[in-house]
Amino acid sequence: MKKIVGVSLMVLLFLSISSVASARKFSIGAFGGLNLPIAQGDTKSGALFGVKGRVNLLPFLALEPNYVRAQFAGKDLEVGDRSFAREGGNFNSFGADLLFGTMSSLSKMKFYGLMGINSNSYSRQGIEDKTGLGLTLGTGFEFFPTEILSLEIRARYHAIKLGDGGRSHVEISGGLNYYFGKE
Amino acid sequence: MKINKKSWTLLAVAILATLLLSGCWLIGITLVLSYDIDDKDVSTSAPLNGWLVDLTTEQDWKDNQDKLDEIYILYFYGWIKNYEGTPATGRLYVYKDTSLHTVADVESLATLVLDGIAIGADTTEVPLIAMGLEPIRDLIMKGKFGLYAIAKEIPFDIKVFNASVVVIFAVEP
Repeated sequence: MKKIVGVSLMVLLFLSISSVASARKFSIGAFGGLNLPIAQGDTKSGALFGVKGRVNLLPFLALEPNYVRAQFAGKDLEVGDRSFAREGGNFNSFGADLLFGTMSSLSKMKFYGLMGINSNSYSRQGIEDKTGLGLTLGTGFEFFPTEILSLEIRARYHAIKLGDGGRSHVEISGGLNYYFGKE
Repeated sequence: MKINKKSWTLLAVAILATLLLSGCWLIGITLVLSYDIDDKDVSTSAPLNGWLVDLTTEQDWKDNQDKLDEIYILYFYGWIKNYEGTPATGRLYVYKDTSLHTVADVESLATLVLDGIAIGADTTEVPLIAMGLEPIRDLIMKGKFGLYAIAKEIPFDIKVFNASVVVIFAVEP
């Protein structure tokens, strides 16, 4: 008898913990983190921040419009026996990502993959501003301490086309999301 | 029409494969190359001689010249000594080779890429400064070009020394 009661209590406890997560349709969030240039001999990492919204389209699919502003520092240029500090710059990105994963799961944690498209304006001192199409690919993890709030960690590869070339970055960020609306 | 999870996954993979196959810019590599140029006296009292900037002799360029995508920026750095004793205004021109030998030929045939370099009465350092790239981008992509330094004021007598050209360019992976 004691065993049955004990097991039942444990099952009830497990169910109560796992059913905290959100079944809400919409969310808005803010995030910040690190922008890491990939294979770029003239730039170093910088900070990034952004805002986004999310709409759950299907149980496994969500659409996430977003805005990101990412900065990068300039690497020193070695010229002869001199070293020149070079200014960094930034890019502003407006776009949308498609998220694939457990979008409507009632689990306390969500994992997802993402891919997206965006429009970017690239600015750097000493050269003309450039605009270019960007593509993103990444993954994320979300944890729900309450039904309407989540903490999120994400890594996103972001490639931007500039002229006939391109610049690539990895964006690592953490953020907070607020959920609302019924599924 | 309902599209199930498997169809969405296949569609996403197909889109991604198409983009990866069509877009080498998705994995862009940016390189920096510094090319030193010889010290040179330039004056109106002698035939003008430009520098032949031959990037094809540099290892980074040689390794990547068949994968060049884009030239992002072209810098000049150097020192200029002004023998005239009065301030002058320096100019840099680019041409396909070093066949030009008069100020008039340089001004009429070559492309002005940098103007307004303030040269004092003695020795002036020209800090790392970007040259106008747009009109000469295709020429730079070939890896060889003639670089000419003159002054706006006639006559002029200058020496360019400890100078370099810096190219920042994009290549395919």
